[in-house]
Amino acid sequence: MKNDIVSLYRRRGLKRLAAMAFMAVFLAVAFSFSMGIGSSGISLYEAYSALMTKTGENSLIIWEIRLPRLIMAVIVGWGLAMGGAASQIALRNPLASPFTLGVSSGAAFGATVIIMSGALSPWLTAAAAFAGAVLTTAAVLGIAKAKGAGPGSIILAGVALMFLFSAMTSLLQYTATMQQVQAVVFWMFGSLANVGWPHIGVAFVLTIVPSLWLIRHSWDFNMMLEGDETAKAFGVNTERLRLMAMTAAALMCASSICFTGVIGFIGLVSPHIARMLLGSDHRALFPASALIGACVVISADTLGRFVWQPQVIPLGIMTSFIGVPFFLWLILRGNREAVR
Amino acid sequence: MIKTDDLCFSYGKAAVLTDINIRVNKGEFAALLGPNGSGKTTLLRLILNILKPASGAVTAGGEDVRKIGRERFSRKLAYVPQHISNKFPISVFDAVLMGRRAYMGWGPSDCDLEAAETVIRRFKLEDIAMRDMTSLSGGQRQRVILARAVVQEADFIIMDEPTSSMDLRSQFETMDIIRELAAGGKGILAAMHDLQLAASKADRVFIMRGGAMYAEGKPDTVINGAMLEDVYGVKADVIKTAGFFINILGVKN
Repeated sequence: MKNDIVSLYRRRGLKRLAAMAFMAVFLAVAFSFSMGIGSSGISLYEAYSALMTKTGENSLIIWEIRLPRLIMAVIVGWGLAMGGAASQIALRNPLASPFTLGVSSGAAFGATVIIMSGALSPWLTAAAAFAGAVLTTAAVLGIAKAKGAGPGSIILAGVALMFLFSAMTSLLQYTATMQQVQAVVFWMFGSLANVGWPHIGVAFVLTIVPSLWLIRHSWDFNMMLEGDETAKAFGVNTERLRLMAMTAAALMCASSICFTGVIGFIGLVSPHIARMLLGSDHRALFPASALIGACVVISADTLGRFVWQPQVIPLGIMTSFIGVPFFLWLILRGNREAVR
Repeated sequence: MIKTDDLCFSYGKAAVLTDINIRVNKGEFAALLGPNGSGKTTLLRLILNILKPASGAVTAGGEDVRKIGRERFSRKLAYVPQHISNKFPISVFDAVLMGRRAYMGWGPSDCDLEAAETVIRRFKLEDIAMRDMTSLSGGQRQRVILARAVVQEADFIIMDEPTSSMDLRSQFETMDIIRELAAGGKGILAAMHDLQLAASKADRVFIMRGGAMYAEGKPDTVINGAMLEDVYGVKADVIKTAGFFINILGVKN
């Protein structure tokens, strides 16, 4: 009898782990199935043969196009979703995402400047987008820090800079040629078409390090749920935690979208889906959000390549087509106790 | 001992607290009394290092609370806030387990889980241990937060209106728990509005008025008609029997 409560508590933890394991299995299945989808007509069997043998003409497509694309889909979904969860707790606002800090408008402005300059290097575009995203976030956090780093001032500063960079991007487009406008618009749609292994290496490091930091501080974020004052009474430096969370969110988001273009929605909605399924405990919320984000991105990318072959529907559009109905279904179902 | 030395605090140029000197010993239950706006909550926030004093210092067990690390701070001071949000969406067990945060690495050890379970049983919370905090009544939430302060194993517990959202029976049960904690060696400082409860249960009372300390001492010597009129602007008879009774006669103009 002595350990009944602890046993119940552990069992509850196991249920959450089982739910996350289910998400991981879904992700693995979607990933495996996606290997056989594409415009080149390679079947699933041929895809896995090429993957294992590394020989034949299919091998190049699988190893240099499909595999990097799918791995990047997982990283992008993971980073955007966990960044969204971090933003929502740091800003105490359910509508927050890394984009609230002006990450996407800063990245779009950076990429637009390079595209307009006529430079054709994807690395240069990515570097400019990354710099735009990070510098915008740094400016927002700098302004907020001067005002005491409260959630309200961070959101206001982010929204103000978001509009400023959007206006500057529009101004550049207004003066651009038709081809340049087309290139900018295509970049903003978001796509996994042009990613390679070096991009994956950079995005992986810039996603995994902040992810581990966030998971390590899950308890502190749980304390912030009760209010800053209580968290401070437990010795949590809430201002610093908030700034670090926003920095982590911005890094994860910037490292993804600089290679893929703007992919909205994932960072906003994945944490809400995770919350509805598993509750608000950040020990489960962070990894579950990341897994759901990865599942949505990989499903959206696969469907985008499948439904209108040989055309590919851009990822930024497909993520909304996939995620919004599911999200609305969860809201209408209204069952917050699903897994508890 | 919790000790404040000439503690002052101001919002901009407006002085909120001036020269507060208090001492709270281990094994003692001290009640902090005074009308709204007298500075009770501000004093608690300064002791908990939530606010930074304009001048003066706070020490707990001889160490400056502003200079000790997080783990040592948690071993010195626990906090029971006045209001627990009804939108605090985690389980009762997790809420109690939070008290062990300073002792954890990536997660709770078996020792942390066992400590939480023991305190949950002590506070008779086992039937609601897996429920969400959002589904509890105000009184139940307050008991959970008291349990969390106890599992923290701090030398001192700072409480802001610990019985504010409780019915009469729960108030007395909570007071009994507080007395039991003091008897077990904890030093407790609780801001309170209920003078009768404070007078009948506290070892010592501090009376605040207008951001300064008006009086301190044993309840039966400090709580009297003159004090009630000076501090609260209320004319009242204080009848001291086996219990303690304040008969309100009227409000002073």
